[in-house]
Amino acid sequence: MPHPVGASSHGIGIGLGNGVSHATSESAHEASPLSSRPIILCLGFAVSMAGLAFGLPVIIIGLVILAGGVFGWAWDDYRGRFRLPEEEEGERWPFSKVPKDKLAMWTFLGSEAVLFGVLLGSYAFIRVNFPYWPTPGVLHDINFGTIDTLIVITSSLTAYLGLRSIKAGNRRGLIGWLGATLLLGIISLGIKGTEWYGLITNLVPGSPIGLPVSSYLVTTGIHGAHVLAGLLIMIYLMKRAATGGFSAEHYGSVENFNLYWSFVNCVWLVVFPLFYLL
Amino acid sequence: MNNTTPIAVWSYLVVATLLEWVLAKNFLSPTTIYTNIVIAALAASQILAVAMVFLRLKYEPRGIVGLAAASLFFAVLAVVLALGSIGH
Repeated sequence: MPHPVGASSHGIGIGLGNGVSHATSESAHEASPLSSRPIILCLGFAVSMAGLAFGLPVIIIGLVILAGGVFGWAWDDYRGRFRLPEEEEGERWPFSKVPKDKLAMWTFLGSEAVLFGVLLGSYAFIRVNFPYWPTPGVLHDINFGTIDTLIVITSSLTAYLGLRSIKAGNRRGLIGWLGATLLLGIISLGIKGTEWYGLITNLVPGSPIGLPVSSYLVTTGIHGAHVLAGLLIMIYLMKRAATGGFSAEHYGSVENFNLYWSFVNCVWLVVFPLFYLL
Repeated sequence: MNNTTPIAVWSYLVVATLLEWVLAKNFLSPTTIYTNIVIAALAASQILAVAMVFLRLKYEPRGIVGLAAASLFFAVLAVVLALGSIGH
């Protein structure tokens, strides 16, 4: 059902892409949840990629634009710009009752599944067709991998407990559990960093294990970048929680972070046996 | 979701990981295909458990489950196409 202009209690723009008229008042226009930040972020990424061809200064410019996009986006969210009353219009089957931000997160995770699918599929192809592949335990320390996996799955639990805390209105609990998750994530990255250091320093140029090591570095590197992004998001969420940004009614960002973190951990549960055990 | 479910799932994940570790440490060799199969099955069960409970697929509306299934389909399609491309 179309909302009348200015009907929102927050005075924010309405009718996003649903054929409903937009708010016309000046205040509503200023608080519009339509954001150019994702476009700025993509532009920064594109410029930094172009920098691979044109040199370091272009990469730095791209990274500055990208950082501007990320922090601007986070700042807008921090100020509650994207907090909207859910609209009934456009929320028909099959996504009825699914908040838009959650739907966006699931769409993002879908694209991530394709990314990691291709990555791991390529790894499987290389491994099957490469004449020499080290047996488990030769290239990677199985004990290290197991400890890392235990840390990763424990971080899934702590992240979930944080979500449960805020659902119950316990903000301190959320901050505590997010802190525990952050710590576990840092330890996990530290373990991977130790392994990376060992592999890179011991690698002899022209060695037959070059390809197995490269495939490991690419896969765990991309996974590690996702973990690092998760850590930064956690810091942001903790700061926002500390200033009262979440409550038993408003915890969408925490829920979406939980989905992201669980997905990243799911990917690790594929990486661990493929690289360490099989 | 039951309050104890996440703890139970986490416990299963820990046990399965330790079991994988024991198998890899004691029974793994290039010729032991059965050990590989058991490890792969344990890993698949872990991924399923995380997807169902921590990703909450078990509790999400059908639309979200469909979206996840579509992602899986496209991931498999991308893998097949990528492998076909590499194979040439």
